[in-house]
Amino acid sequence: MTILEQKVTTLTSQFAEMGALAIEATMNAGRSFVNHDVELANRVIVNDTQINELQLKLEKQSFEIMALYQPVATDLRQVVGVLKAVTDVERIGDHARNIAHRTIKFAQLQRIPEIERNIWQMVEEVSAELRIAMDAYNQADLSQARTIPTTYNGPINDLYNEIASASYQAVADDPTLINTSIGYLKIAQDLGRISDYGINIAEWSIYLATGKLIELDNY
Amino acid sequence: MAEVIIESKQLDLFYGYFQALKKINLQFETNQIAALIGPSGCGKSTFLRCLNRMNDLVDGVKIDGEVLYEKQDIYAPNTNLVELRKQIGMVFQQPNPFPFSVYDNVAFGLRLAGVKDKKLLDEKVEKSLRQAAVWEEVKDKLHTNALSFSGGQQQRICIARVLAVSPKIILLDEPTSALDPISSAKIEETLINLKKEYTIIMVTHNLAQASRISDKTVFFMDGQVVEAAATKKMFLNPEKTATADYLAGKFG
Repeated sequence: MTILEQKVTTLTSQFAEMGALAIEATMNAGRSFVNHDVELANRVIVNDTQINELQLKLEKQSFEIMALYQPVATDLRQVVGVLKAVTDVERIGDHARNIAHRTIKFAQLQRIPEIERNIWQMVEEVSAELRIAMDAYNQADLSQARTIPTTYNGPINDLYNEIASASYQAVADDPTLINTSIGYLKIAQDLGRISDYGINIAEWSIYLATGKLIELDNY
Repeated sequence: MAEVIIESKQLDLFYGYFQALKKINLQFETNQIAALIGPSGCGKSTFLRCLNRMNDLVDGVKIDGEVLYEKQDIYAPNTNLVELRKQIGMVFQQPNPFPFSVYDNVAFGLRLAGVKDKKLLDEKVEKSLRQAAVWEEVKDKLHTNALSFSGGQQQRICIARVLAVSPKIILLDEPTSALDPISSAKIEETLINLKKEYTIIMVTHNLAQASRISDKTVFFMDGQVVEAAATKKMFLNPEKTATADYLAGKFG
């Protein structure tokens, strides 16, 4: 293995690790919210610094590889892919951290179990989408990447709409639930954004395998 | 922290009235590859040749300042030149094997030093050729004339010839500029493996090569050191504009 190959392999395996951390953060943030688990929420918040540090580390490594080893073709795509996708993964971590903060804020609020069931379902859908996107990236498997919008975006959007309308209805029925409802909306928005970043990662996996920059159709 | 094995202090060199090196202060550490880069005529090869006194042979050369190898000034009058060049070996741009067999080339330095034991010679020759990553290609042709091999193989045989006398430092003057890309890559790989045991200082015109394999890069211009830094630092964020311009190919 040449030095360039070694450097690129290290880079991509660290990126895979960072992706796994972001998926775990999303799952744990969602779990902390629906289980009212403040301790778990705090852990998500602390762990986010690890994701942020990995981003800086990977960016630095990518710059070094480009400056010192002049990668071309596949190697170049690997490096550029990581350099771009690392931002998406870092943002996923930030949204998971938002959800964890909301878990802590929600400790004193009244809750609506039906809506939280939908939120948990949305967490599961989004996490599954991220897993497919990261697997597609790590194995450069296009069949999986291309199916993400059709498999996940529909159900995720439906869940978002259900959570939103149920939250509006709850405030209409009982105005004291205003903070609860706004909280649910914000969480659904965070999860929606995470899902969008999942699509970005899938798009980078297609770039990695084919060299083509495309927009996967959004619903 | 690696220790400094060789350093120059206020080194000046004149070819007649022309000053080719101006107050060069540089340090080189063990188990590192240092790359000397710069435009043609900048003094990098002249500097390299100062490190084992190869310039002594040039007419009208005058040298001031010091070169300390393991803390001893190599320009001191009592220096044993044969011993010095055994410890600080040199590989040149054009592969220059002697016109006899691979075996005799690599054993040359040892025989010169009085080694006669056949078994010891065999062992040393094999070890050196292995270290130079050319053993597999020449092991069945050890008694073939070294000049009949390809340029890349000849160059690695020359590296083996230097290694046979167990040097501490290997100086290389553009060791791959006369070779094709595949042979160059092999030499580069060889050098990376060799730095575990030796200190390597090389002159190169190939900036990509400097960036790929060196730990430290020194940029020469007009007989002066413009910048000397860790290669990573040099190629990502050089201190001087002149360095950035040279690396970007804007002059030179």
